[in-house]
This record gives sequence, C-alpha cells and structure tokens, in this order.
Amino acid sequence: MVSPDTLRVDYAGAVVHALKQEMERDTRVFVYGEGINDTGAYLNSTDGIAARFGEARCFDVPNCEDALVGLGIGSALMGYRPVFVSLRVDFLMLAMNQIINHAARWPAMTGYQASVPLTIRALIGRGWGQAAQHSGALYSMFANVPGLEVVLPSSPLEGAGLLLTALRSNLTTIVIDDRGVFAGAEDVPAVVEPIPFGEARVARAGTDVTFFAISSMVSFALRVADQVAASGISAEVIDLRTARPLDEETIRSCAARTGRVAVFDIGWPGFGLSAEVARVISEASPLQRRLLSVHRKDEQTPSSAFLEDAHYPRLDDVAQQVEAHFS
Amino acid sequence: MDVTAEVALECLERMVVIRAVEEGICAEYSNRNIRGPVHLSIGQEAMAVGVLNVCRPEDVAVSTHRDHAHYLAKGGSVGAMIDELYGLESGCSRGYGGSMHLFSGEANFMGASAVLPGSTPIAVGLGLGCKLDGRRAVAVGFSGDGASDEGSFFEALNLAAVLKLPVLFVCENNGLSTNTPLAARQAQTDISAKARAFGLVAANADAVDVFAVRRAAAEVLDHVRSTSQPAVLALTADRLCAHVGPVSTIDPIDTGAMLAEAANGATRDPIASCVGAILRDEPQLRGECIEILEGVPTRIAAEFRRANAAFEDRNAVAGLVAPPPPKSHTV
Ligand SMILES: Cc1ncc(C[n+]2csc(CCOP(=O)(O)OP(=O)(O)O)c2C)c(N)n1
Ligand SMILES: [Mg+2]
Repeated sequence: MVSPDTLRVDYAGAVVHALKQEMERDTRVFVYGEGINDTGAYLNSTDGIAARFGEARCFDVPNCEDALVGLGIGSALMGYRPVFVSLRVDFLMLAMNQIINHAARWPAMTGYQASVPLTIRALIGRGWGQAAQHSGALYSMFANVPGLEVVLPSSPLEGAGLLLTALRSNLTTIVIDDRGVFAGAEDVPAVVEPIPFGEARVARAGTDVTFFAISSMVSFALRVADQVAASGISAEVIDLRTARPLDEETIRSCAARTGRVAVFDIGWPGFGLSAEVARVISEASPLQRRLLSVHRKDEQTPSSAFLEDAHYPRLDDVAQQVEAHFS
Repeated sequence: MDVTAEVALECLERMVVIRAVEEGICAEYSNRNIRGPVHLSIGQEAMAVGVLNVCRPEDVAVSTHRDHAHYLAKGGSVGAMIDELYGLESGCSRGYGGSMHLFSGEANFMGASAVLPGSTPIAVGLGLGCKLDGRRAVAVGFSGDGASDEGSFFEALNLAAVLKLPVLFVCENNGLSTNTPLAARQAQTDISAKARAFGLVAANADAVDVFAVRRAAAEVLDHVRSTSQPAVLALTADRLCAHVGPVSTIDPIDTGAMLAEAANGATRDPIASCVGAILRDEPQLRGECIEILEGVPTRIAAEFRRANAAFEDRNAVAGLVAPPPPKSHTV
C-alpha cells in the first residue's frame, strides 16, 4: 500500500510534482522551452503543467537559446522566477553569452542590488546512440563560474528537493538532468522539502574508501560498491549533489577518515570533478600540504580600483601564503 | 517645436547635464582617480533624452557600454554616477560596475551590458515582466548599430514579436562600431527594414533634433503600450567623441559659442540644435537657456570635486598607487 503522504514516482514525475507544488505556492514561477507542451516533452518532466496552470505559465518558444536565456534574465530582474527548459545541455552552448556574461554577472555588476533568480533545466542525452552533440555533460564549464549554481540530482527524491531549492534561490541555477536518472522510481513526500545546496549526502556507509559521485554516477558508484564488497572492500558513497556550491567540508572530512578516494564523474577528466576533489583534499590535509592554488577571488570582478586590488593575487599576500602553507 | 516651454527646457537641461558630466570626466581623467574605460555620448545626447522624456517612471530600461546618457536621462542620480566612476561604495553600482554598468533601481534603470548585444535579449525579458505585471509599463532596450551585427540581436526582435511583448528597441546608429563604418559591416544598412522583415513596427529619426526624437518615440511608444507589441526606433547621430576614452571632438560648453552655434541650421551638436529651436520659437526663453548652459556645468563640477575628495580620503587609507595611463583607449 502506498501511504497517502508519499507518491511513488520516477524522476520526471518527481520534477513535475515539485514544480506544481511551487507554482501553486508562488505565482511568479513560470516555465518555458522549445516544444515544452508536446506530448512526452523532455522525457515527460513538464507533463500536465500547462493543463494545470495555463499556457501563460508554461509556454512554447522559438529556437533561440541566447534570447531565451535573456528572456529569463529580464523577467527575473523584475521579480519573476522563470524556469527555462533546454532539451540538451549541448544547446546551452548557444546561450553562453547570456548565461555566463549576463545571468552570472549581472548581480555583481550592480553591486549586488539586482538578482537573477532564473532556473535552467538541461538534459544530458546519455545513451541510446545520441552521439557527440546530444550527450555532453559540460556542467563543469558552468561550475567554474561564480554567480551560478550547478545542481546534479541523482534520483527522483533528490530531483524534487533540489529543484525546489533552485526555484527559491536568488541566483541563476543550472539543474543538470542526466537521462541515466530517469529510469527508477522512488517514494517522494506529498509535500516536497527543499534540499539545501552545498550539503552532500551519504548514499552508502563504508570505511575503507570514499566514492564521491554526482548525478547518474551515484547509482553507478553504489553498484561498484556492492561489487567490491565481495572482495572485502567497504566503500562509502557520497552524493555531492551540487558542483557549485561544492561541499568542501564533507570532501575533506570523508577523505581524512578513509584516506582513499575515488571520484565518479559524469563528464571528461580534464578540469573536472576529480581535479576539484583533489584540490580540496590536497590543500587541506595538514600532513600533505602539497598543493596551494593561487587564483583570483572566487567572485565576479568588481570595477572599483579599491575592490579590484583585492580581487587579483597580491605578491606579498601570496608569498605569505606560500610560507604559511609549506613551512 | 511641438512641445511646451517646460518640456523644451527639461530636454535641454537633461542634455546639458549629460554633456557636463562627460566634460567633467574629460577634465578629471588625467588626475587618474577615475580608473576605468569611459564611453562618452557627446553628440548623441538627444537619443537618450528624446526617448526617455516620453517614457513613464515605471517603464524599465537597459543599456550598453555607452550607458551614461541613458542612466541620466532615465533619472539616475548624478552624484551616485560620479561616485561610481571614482569606484566609491556610494556609487550607483556600489563600485562594482563602473562606467559601463550603471544601475538605478529607483529610476528603473536595470543596468547595462558591455558584451554585444547582451542587453537586447534582456530587454525582451523585461518586456515579459512588464506584460506579466499588467501595469502597461514598457521595456526600453538601447543598443548601438554594432549590436545589430550580432545574431542574437535578431533572435531578440523575433522573440519579442512572436510573444507580443511591450519592448521598444532603440537602435542608436552613430555609423560606427569602434571605428569600423556601418557600410563595411552590413550589406543592408537600414535597420528599420530589417525590423519590419521580422514583423515589427519601425520608425526613424535624426537625433540631432531632440524634439524629432521625442515625437517619433512618442508615436512608437504609444503603439507598444497600447498593443503590447514591440517596435524599433532607429536613430542617427554623430559621435562627437572617441569610441572610448576622455576625448571629445568638440569644445566644452561655452554659452557665447553655444548661442552662436545655435544659429547654425546645419549643426550636428544636439544641444546647439535644441537651443536654436527654442530661441526660434520661444525667444523669450533666452534667459532660461543661458541659466541652464551656465548653471548646470557649475553644479556638476562641484560634484566632481566632492567625489574626487572622497576618493582621496579613501585612498589615504588604501594607499593605491595610480597606475600608468593606458597606452591606448581603443580597447
Ligand atoms: C561581443 C562583443 N564583441 C566585441 C566587443 C567590442 N566592442 C565594444 S564596443 C564596440 C562597438 C559597438 O558598436 P555599437 O554597438 O554601434 O555601439 P557604439 O559604441 O557605437 O555606441 C565593440 C565592437 C564587445 N564589447 N562585445
Ligand atoms: Mg555605433
């Protein structure tokens, strides 16, 4: 028997459920995307939204990704909470000017007086022969950029809770939906609770090694953990949930506890999740202290001479850091 | 002139404010306390003033790297803008934006983009916001002719037209993108023709005459407001300054010289043209014109002195060394 306070839903059902809940609560939320109201659009994850809320709040648009993100930014600047649905992450490459140069930077450029509470959902077409242009993960390009939030749900329950947080966030949030998470079903509460960003989740307890995973690689890591358990390896699986903000604290503490780490990324290795996890661990470990990252501040560049001066690495500061770090 | 004396003087005063602020920048820049690129609007003041004079306070606007005139004509604070140029916390963008990213929430000036044609798609979103608000406000997106070299400019026009959004796209054609002429960049140089091809209403005006701009703007704005459909207003004028940097190609305002130039029917200076139109139709306003031409620059010079002193105070603590002047202002 299904208890009345939960629903058994797949990822698409969970997303629709969370979206309806928030659209009911907050009339500023609306959704748009190319072919969004087609039957089965975006693997059914917008099913029934137009029927419930009308086409003014769930509308079809032309194929113009850059302008479509601009549409979201402008309406977000006026206090609305738009959700742009992009059928592939790859298609967002046409909107990089609006996403990176504008959505991420507008708040900083106004001295944080304006905010851009825009949510972009984009699909990774993993599997089914989708080839190079429809299967890109590409999330680390966004995760590099201050001012954006990058969310990588691993299951229906996670998808619902993280989407709710995205809809309520005042920053532009990119929710990456990997086709690999759309298959299974899970119990989701009738009233979804938001899942805070930057707080990783223990998906499996273990003592010998920590697997850090995101998105569809969480269930993959769980299966690997089951398999290696037979050889006596006890693997802990951590679902990092969000690439920006990244739960550095959990990465440090898990790595310190098990001392061995594997990273399960959905994307390519270069400048990806493993490099990021390695940086967090190497910089923190009091025994190792083998790495120090020297970089500009993790913020969008301010204009003022006074603020700009503090934005870029300063010779004396870095020399001091090096001394403190390696001595 | 088809406006009241009050409106005529309002337009003149606003243009003189813009000119005086930019002349202040030119005068102060060599002191190296204004540290950042500046794109002046000298020669193009009537575009911003003519359009925004017929807008309502609740209308929202966005702009480009050349945003001083739009910010000031929309009602942004002069002092807060000058503070922004000096990188002070009291600046209109709290020191984060600088000259290219002025912002005023109170004036519904929503900011400016320095990447082409970045603010044009955002204007479409502001139009959607206006439509959803249901208050009959209009979004105004200013852009230069160079922005219309870009593909996403036309995505934005199409999107606003197909979604039926109240957006006025003001295309400020100074014939140049940096220093590359329009004809070297576009085979079809008539922006209005392109707008019509996308299903938008379009109008043109020569923006040396602020009242001609105002008239054309009133007409297209009326259309946008009453039908909730976008329109393009294509304006032409000469940029009487460098693309970037504190370089004007005309002399600072001098009342005598301005009154003489006002009599020149072929002037390309919109302020002289405005004074000329006022004196032709309402010669009794001569005293008011002179008061504006003399009073405004004096008041604004005082704002620069105040902001410069605040910069010096702040730097007494921060101890920043003035960087060498840029080798070139072209980038
Ligand atoms: C995408 C992009 N390409 C190039 C530039 C460099 N750039 C800055 S201003 C400018 C000229 C733009 O001309 P226009 O749009 O006519 O505006 P104007 O400067 O004449 O006011 C250029 C090419 C830029 N800012 N963004
Ligand atoms: Mg130009």
